[in-house]
Amino acid sequence: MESRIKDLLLDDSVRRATIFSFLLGAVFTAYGFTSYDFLIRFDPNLNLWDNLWQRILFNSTPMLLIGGYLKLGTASNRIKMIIWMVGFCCVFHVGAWINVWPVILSGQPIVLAYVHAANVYLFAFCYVFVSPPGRYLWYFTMTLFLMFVGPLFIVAHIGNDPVLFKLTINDTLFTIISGVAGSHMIQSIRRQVAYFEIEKEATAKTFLGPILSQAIYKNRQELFASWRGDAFVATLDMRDSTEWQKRNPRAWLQFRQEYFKAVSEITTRYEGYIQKTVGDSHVIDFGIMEHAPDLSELPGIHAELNLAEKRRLERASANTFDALDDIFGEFHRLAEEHFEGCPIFLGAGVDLGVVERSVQGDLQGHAELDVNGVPVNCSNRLQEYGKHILSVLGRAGSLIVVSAKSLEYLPPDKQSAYLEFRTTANPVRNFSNLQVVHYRTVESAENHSAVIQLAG
Amino acid sequence: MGKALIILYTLLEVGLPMCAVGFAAVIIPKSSVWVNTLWILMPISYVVIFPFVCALLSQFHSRQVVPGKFPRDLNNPAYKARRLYGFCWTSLYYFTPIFYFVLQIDLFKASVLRLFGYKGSTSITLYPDSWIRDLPLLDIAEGVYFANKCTLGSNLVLGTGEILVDRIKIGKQSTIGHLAIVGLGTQIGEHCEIGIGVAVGLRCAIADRVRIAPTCAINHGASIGAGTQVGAMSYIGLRAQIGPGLEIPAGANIPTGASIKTVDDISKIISSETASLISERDRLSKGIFNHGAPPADASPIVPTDPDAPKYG
Repeated sequence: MESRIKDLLLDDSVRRATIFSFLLGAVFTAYGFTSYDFLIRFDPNLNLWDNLWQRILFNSTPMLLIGGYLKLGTASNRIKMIIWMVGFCCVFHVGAWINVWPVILSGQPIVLAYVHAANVYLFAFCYVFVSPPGRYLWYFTMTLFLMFVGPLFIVAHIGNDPVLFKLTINDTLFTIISGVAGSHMIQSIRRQVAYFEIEKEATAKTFLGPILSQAIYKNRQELFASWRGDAFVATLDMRDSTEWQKRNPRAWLQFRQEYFKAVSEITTRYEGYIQKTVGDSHVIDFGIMEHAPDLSELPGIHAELNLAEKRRLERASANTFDALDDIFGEFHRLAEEHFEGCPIFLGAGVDLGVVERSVQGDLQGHAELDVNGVPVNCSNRLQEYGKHILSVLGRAGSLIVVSAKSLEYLPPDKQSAYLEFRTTANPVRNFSNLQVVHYRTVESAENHSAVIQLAG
Repeated sequence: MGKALIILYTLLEVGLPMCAVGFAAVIIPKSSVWVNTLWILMPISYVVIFPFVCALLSQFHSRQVVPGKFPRDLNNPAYKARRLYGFCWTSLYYFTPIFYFVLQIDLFKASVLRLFGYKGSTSITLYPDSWIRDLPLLDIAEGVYFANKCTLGSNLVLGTGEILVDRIKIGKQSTIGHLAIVGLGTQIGEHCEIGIGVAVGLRCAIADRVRIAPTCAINHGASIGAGTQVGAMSYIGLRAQIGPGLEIPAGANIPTGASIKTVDDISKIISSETASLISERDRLSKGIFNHGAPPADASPIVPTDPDAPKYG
């Protein structure tokens, strides 16, 4: 947390130093014009061009180059900040030698009265605007003393005007001390802002989930990339939830909240992705968020790729059915805890097939990482079909309905827990091609455990 | 057209630095001091001008160096651009003494690499024999160390007459060991150590702080989680997934598509490998002792070479 805050503060300071460098680039050139009127009083031979080109070449250009480097350079922020601190002080030192310090050293110290105000303003502005964070503030102050303030005092002393010398020391020290204090205060405010920013990020992570958080905050943009392949899609829905909600809204709300939390935890544990929640329903995908780069361009590895794909689907299958077991178990436990003895049930449908993962929607407005494909609809229809199966069986209970294809990657002992149901008499809505579906009833927590034991 | 440009670029790369030096010889005063100075500065001028000429010529093509799969045909615009860019780069790369000087002076190195379209950090350690190319596709962070003779294979020529090109990303303070190879499309995290002679395949994902010991082979599309250590001479199969914080023992053989998330998974893989080796040994020995010869389907363990020395 602390290092993240420091990084943010430094990043912020470098960004402001960049803007400040560009501003100074313009200001130094402007000063070439504005300083000419008083400098000519001390050096009648000076012409405007002489004053201008030196400031452009030795002040404006380096400041613009520093600004450009801070903006485009790839070095770390630490290096950039050091470059800016040293660079700024160097440029300032060189600027003072352009028609100012030589005039003082030639016995006309009064010129200091003309330029001193500009120096003091610039120091103050620099501290307030850039306000280098933490120890960089001290480094900057020390560099400024070594490279500009110290030499300025020496030059002012050599100028041999005690009043101007004292004035320079007093004003400079007062400005720098105030600047350091002001910068310190600004940093503490920025620190709080950084803290809130990090807190906001952490809050956002809880809503985004582990996958989107990684994609956004860990810069894993490949997770947003479109991907097409086989995946398991499970749809879960609480039965008669509207009726239960009407009967006991507060208890239902609490139950629902705990159930959703459990689904979220279990899905994450089994590497699934909650694609959507609608009312009391979940659409959960398994096997779509893995690192599965496209290797199809490589010739000669098809057999190996097929084997890798088979193992991926076996893994996704195990994750899907284990997650469903856990979700049903947790659902029944919570139902028993909140509505003791009440017949509250859950339905699920599972299908396996080709889906496409991609960012959908308007990227300027609302976009989401979505999964589309036939299995999304089919799993939903299978979940609905569970009601028909229960009515045929003449019983109530929680039910998992799966397509025959979804069972292909499950070990035989686990497959045997699912019973066959012919759909010829009453086809699955929109999927009349499914001649057979498989189901498993999970009536209560006790029954659920029994089924799991049976499944192995 | 492409071949004509290559000839033209050759003339420019060789000729321009020579012309610059020759021009200086014509315009300088003919006093002995100036002539002697020119003689001293001549090789230095050539060393400085040559890389910049190559880099400036590559500017015409560096934007067309993009990921993808292209036929290796100069009539294909993308391949032609790659070919000309590659020509400019290799003109410098294979001119080892000059490339060596380029890499020794930070400002020189940064300027030349940037002109070749490189966008990563220039605070990296690179040797003249560390093979890199397709600089616009390399995303190398600060402090990365490339040992001698390592290879960043950002392109791959396929037997189909095509070339496959992709980006390579390496996080800060990572080390690519001596003779190590990193395939295209691979992403390596921060503070990673890719050991001596490790071959990392195409489009692998290696997270932060991963240490891969010498001579491992990481097959295409494999992913390794943060903080995992892979023992020496291990093999990670195609698209295998290794979770974070694990220690893969030396000589491990992680099969294609396997997912290793816990220490138990490692034990299972290792024990199943051992079991399969024991079963294979038993099968072979059973065949030999029962019938006097190994079974017909047994693969030869030792190649039969009549000239091989005989021991015992």
